[in-house]
Amino acid sequence: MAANNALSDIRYKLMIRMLGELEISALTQAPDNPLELTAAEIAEWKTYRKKWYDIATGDISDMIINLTAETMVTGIPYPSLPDGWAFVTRNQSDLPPVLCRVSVLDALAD
Amino acid sequence: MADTKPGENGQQQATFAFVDGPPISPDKHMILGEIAQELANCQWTVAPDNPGGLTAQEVADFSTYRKAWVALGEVNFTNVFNGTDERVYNEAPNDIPLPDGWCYTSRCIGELPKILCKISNLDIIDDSVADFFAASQARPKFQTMKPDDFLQFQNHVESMV
Repeated sequence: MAANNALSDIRYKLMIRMLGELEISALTQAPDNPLELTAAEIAEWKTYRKKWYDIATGDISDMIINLTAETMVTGIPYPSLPDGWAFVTRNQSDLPPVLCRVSVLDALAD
Repeated sequence: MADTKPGENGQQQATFAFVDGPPISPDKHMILGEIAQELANCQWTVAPDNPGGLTAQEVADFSTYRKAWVALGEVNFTNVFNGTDERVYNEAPNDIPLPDGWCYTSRCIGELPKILCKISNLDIIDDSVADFFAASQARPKFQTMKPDDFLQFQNHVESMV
């Protein structure tokens, strides 16, 4: 039996999403800890990042391509962000997402 | 404190950008950009939290791999220049092998972005890969031109207008 030599469409999309998640959250694991996370927060982010790697490399049998879904895949078991943190933009659908503490949000959008 | 002078927008800017010319050649700049992108692509393999669960040997191998890329930027190439082919950047010898068991791949040949993953993460067999690769190798390649040749080519094109 020939060895696999390519990525399926779903796994390719998951890999891209996983790499994006690892990139955007890399500062939570930086040795200089610029955001001054607590040890517990660093551990929670470590878990979050590991979950994304596991999603990208794990079982995809329950996932299907859906061009209107986030990441264009339905069935992703999205991991929860650590408490007190959020990805935000100026408004819905705006890019890029910014990772910050909920406590630094400074406006009320009704 | 660095010697500065006002820029066009009134902000203080370093004078070397105006007085001494660019601090690096366009070729070196391109190579450094390529290196920076490569380091970004595999940054997660050496992240302190090790999200991919790499073995100590794999982390060490990637550390060596990344240093080899950085070392590429310290070489002052005499025969490397920016090209006009599909590689976009230059002809620097960047065939630095990935650690065993790892690959850059994509859904199909020519698609972006490339994905760094373990070969064991590949999950399908695509019978067309070999044919596509052979075809990509067989078709004519754009040739990178030396700067002088490129200028002559550019002058030739402009003279035809």
